[in-house]
Amino acid sequence: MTQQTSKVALVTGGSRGIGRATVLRLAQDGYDVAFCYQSDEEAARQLEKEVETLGRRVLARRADVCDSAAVRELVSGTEQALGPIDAAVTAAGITRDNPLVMMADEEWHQVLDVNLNGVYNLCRASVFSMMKRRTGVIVNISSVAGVYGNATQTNYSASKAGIIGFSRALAKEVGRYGIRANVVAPGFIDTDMTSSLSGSVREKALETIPLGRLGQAEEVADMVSYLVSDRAAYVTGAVLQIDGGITI
Amino acid sequence: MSDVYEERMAQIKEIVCDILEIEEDEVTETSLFKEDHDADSLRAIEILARLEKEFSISIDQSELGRMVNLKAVYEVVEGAPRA
Repeated sequence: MTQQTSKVALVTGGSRGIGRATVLRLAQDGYDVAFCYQSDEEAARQLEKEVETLGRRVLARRADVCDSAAVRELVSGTEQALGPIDAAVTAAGITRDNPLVMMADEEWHQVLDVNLNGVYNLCRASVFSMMKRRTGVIVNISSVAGVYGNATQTNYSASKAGIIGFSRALAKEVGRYGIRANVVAPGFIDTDMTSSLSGSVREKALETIPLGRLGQAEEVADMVSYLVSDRAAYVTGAVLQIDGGITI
Repeated sequence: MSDVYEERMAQIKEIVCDILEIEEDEVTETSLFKEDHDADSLRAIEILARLEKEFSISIDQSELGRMVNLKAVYEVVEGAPRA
């Protein structure tokens, strides 16, 4: 087994959007990176190659973040292949937008399951080893929808607000074990998730963003990079918004 | 009780009392860390980590909830695989 010299990060929802940008950014920062993906195997393989090109070790696994046993296996597989996890980042997320009055039970449960239970599953599985080693960083990706709410997104907003409460409670719980837990709350970021929005919704959103543009996934990844680094050694339980000023 | 049991239990007792900051004569094999000794339930992770190191074993996360008194900790240690 290769002697571990670099830090190890695990990212959920790593093959696309903010997760993908985070995988690449952390690899550039010198992390060996494991990530899981749900559906896009081709994108995952491509990303694996890009991380290897950066000279870092990489592990890509298909895993459903809603499945606690699968997430436990993902964590133990990462630890066996790359070493103990120093940074855990939860970026897996979905939307199933509908006005509440028209929302199907399935739409509610799917979003809560992936966005919130997925965070619980990864954090629960990875914090055990972090607590034993008395070191580790967790960054959970929420959304400004979780801070302020979005019409037609009661499910998404509830899940993202849940992530904030969860992360603050966890930060209080594990701080004395040398572990930090923070939240990044992006606004409109140019990813597959927002590309499915209709043209009129995008135009309307752009009008309300003081900086006049959508954010880039790489900009969110930069914030994650900061939070997992020692530059943020005194930052825990924080909710950092990156939204072009949309919530001002 | 065998000498092996007594010896191992004494080692476990010493570790637990050191972490929970309680006197060894205050704790029995069945007194509860949390309810009887005012221990923070999260201290179980520190006990677990020290036991793993001391006995070169690997204790599963699912065992944390069982580790409520010395007797249970002893059983967890006995059932744990070598690291």
